[in-house]
Amino acid sequence: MKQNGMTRRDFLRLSAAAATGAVMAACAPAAPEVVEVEKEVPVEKVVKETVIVEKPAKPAEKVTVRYWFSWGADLVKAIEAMMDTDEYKEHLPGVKIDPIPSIGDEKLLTSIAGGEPPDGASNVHYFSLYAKGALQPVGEWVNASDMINKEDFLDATWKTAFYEGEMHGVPGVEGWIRYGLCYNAGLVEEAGLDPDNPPLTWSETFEWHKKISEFDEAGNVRVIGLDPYDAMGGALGGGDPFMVPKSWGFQAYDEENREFNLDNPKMADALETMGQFYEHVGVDQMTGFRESFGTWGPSFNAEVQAMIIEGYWVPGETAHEAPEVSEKIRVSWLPVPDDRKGLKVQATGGHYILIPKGAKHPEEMFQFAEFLNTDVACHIIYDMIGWLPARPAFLKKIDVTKYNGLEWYAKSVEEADEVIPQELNPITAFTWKAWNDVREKVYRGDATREEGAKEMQEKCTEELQKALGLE
Amino acid sequence: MNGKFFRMSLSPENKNMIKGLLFISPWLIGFLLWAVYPIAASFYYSLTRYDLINPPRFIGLSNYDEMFFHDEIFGKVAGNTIYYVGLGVPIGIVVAFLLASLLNTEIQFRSAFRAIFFIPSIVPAIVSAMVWDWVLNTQYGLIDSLLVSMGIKAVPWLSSPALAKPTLIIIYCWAQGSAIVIFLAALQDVPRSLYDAALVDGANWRQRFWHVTIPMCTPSILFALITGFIGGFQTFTLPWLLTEGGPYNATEFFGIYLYRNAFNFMKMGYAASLAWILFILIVIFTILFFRSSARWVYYGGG
Amino acid sequence: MPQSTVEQQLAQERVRGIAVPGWQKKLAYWLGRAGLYTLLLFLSLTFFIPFFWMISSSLKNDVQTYKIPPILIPNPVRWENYVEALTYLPWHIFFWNSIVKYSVPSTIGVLISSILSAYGFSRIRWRGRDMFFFICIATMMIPFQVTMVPLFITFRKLHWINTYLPLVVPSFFGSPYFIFLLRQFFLTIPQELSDAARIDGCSELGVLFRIILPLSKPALAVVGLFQFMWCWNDYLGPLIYLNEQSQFPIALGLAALRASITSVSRMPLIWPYLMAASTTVLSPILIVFFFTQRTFIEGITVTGMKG
Repeated sequence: MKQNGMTRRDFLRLSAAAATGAVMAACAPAAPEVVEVEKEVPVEKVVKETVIVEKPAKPAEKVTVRYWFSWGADLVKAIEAMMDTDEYKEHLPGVKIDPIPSIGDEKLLTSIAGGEPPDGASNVHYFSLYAKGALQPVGEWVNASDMINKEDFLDATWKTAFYEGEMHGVPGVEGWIRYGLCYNAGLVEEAGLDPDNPPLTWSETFEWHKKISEFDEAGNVRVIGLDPYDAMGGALGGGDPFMVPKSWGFQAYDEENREFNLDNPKMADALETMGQFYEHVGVDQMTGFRESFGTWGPSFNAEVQAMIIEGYWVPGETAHEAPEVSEKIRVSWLPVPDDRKGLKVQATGGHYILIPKGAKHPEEMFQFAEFLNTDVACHIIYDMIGWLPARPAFLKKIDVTKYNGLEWYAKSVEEADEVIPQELNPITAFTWKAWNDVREKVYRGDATREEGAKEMQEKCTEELQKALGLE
Repeated sequence: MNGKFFRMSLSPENKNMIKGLLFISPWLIGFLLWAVYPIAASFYYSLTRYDLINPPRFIGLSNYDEMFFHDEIFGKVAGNTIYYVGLGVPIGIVVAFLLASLLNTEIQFRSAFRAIFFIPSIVPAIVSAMVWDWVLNTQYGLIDSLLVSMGIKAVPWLSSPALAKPTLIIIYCWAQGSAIVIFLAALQDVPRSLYDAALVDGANWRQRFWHVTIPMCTPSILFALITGFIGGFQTFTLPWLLTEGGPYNATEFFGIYLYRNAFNFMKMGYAASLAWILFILIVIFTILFFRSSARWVYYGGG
Repeated sequence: MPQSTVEQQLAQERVRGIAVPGWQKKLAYWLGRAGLYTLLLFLSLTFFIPFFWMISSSLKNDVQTYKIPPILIPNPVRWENYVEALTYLPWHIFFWNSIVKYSVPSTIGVLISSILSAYGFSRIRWRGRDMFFFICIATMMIPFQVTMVPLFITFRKLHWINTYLPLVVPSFFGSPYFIFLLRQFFLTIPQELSDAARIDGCSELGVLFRIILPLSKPALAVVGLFQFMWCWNDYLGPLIYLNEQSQFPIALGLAALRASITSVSRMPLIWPYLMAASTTVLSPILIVFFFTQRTFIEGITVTGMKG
């Protein structure tokens, strides 16, 4: 198994850099122009104070910690269940978590800018927030913590926790394995295909798609095979638009040189390959289908979409939401282009807890982030939602056969030829929208695939320059 | 200024002026705070790059340069908005006028019919969005599932770039209740004697409609046109909730693009420059309407 | 045009002073009437369809919801949708926020400030009044989005984000629309009434409260009604300023219901729930409308006619 992730040495190097974080921040390229008037809270001060205390003193009176995330009510229920445990009461006495669901980047940014941010946030565009300088560095807290040990996590976890040498994200909530081609064995069999022999390449997947998709006499869609842009394929509003680089085998964004690498034949090929699915169903029909069902699984649960590119969380979520569909779930490798046939690609990485600048209870939030990484909390999340952390020690303790399909994901880390950490960039929101626009342009025939790839590169590069103030 | 001087210099005229200004002071202060200041500040921010977190950075006219010469989406946004306003508002007015004329005939239950046509205009935009989204759903919506069951191809109301804007215009026409009420009042105000005179001159109903009814209603039509244009340029809630600017940016209107830049991309500077252009556009259109109104609007007797 | 047939008949009879009740004319008349009513009924139905679909869908179970061809009248009826949809998110908070935190204070604010301003614009004669009034009318042209960005930046500096202050405070500074409406109304009240009161030693405020306001109840009702309804319907303002669900008004609550159901829970009852919540949000508006229909219509007519 080739691990593309970070070695332990990388991690230590980054941690060391974090110690000089304050110095680095002062020397950062954008810094000299910054007029300090707008900065609300001297963050370094907060951090230093807590470091001296080593482990922050437990507050006596009742404190309410506001924790925002863009997941839904399931996690709220899980957090409420956590607060009932003895371990929670011991670790965070007198602290109440106020979990606020369905709240995304825009609100978080405006609240930080408005000086009334929550104490913690998750499932947002992590890198954009790091790059904006909107967060409190957490490296020293993590180093001092006896509950979060770097070695406990898969290495890939740490790579996207850092920005410019400073750690901003505490891993937590969920963050295991990101890719797989989930398919509904029932629908596959109905189409006369062999569910034990899943497609490995994109052209094989397209063959399956054509055989599975059903239309009535008037040409209305009844069932589709695969919408390659659904869920982890790059659905707006919560996916990694860079599934393409993993499947086609290139690096989309190089953080060291701050360069996008999107204008290449592989990208062009991806636009063409994935666009075929839309052309086959009919672009307007596919769009209508998408709007009717939404992305991230409702159509899969309704058994009108046979395949979906998703992560390890699908078995658990489907078991809770559509038990009868859950029994039919089978999973296979993320499709790759023909010339990479047989290559097993997987990626890990997940979510973080961020502590915004100006948070009123940063210590308690950090303690809760610690608690989220305890076995007790992880068990609750696993049982109630089906999510898992990127902690091998914990993964050994759970029964992966609990949810149908999960076993495949568990094994895939070992079997994969490549395990790639998730890729983030400082302008994720923008790249998502750009990706959405460009691919639509290509499958609607308003740009060739090469033009699409070129446009993606130009747009993203220009925006990055602006965002980082480099021009 | 001492009290004595103040009292001495007060003529009754000045006293009234002070009284007047005091009474209108809520509006006057509001005008300075919520109109003059933001418009001026907007211009300042339009010359900067500002993400709310880091301080604004002065970049001259770059935002305007970007908007007019580099931003491909802006071109589309401008086209969409002109399409929607330029077609939607006149069509809405024609529909409202015809419905009002229908209600103006001698019918029973006029207020019941009027209520039915009026109600859609007071439905909260969010409710309209939810309901229309479900009526027009291509899989299970009322219309398309009827079509599918009859073996006809479903109409991609909101998922085809070609149909999305016409669909929004249909919904816009559905919610023309206040225009209907205004037109109905105008129609009822047309003096009977004018029709009688026209009849004596031998005018048929078509001639009477064109030469009596419409000219007498032109002030209301002008009003509906202006408010329609101003409202149309700011359309946000319905397309935002129904299509979020899609498909293929076909419903990315000015209001949506402005919101997206400000609150999704945190480009406050760029959003401010869009706001300025929007403001200028509305001012120009309003002035044009008023200028042209002398030629086609009939103000009876002054 | 069906209007013509009827009107022509009636008008001709009136002008010539002779009624010619030949059977052809009678037939044509009744055919015209029939055509007219058919057309009106057809159009009314068309306008009503979305409401019908909303109510019908709000009472369906999951199987009925996704049936093709569509089921128009659900049987059995699933009333639980209302309970479940309205408890899935804290709707009692959304209603409370919409009414107590938003609509009521903002209606009070708009009434007080617009009454004062309208009085200044109508009942006192002073130099420059017309110029100021012209400016006031002109500000109706300024779209919300033009001032949205700088105002957001200002309110953020005041730490007003995630509160109702940015939405309510501006209403205490008058609304040009209502100032205009009230001014038009105040102008219709004879000037002699206030002059007499002034001679009796009444101050301007006294004139306003003792003479003008008691005579202006219909206009005040229009202002109150409209402002309340606008707050109830407002989406963009709350969308920008309010962050947490505990602060949401109903419009954001409805959007949150849609978002939370589609993004995470993916339950098949999503549409019945949304339609049940929509019906609930809409019904107060409809009830108020039915009881105050005339006020509504007059309010729109007054502002529409003289603009």
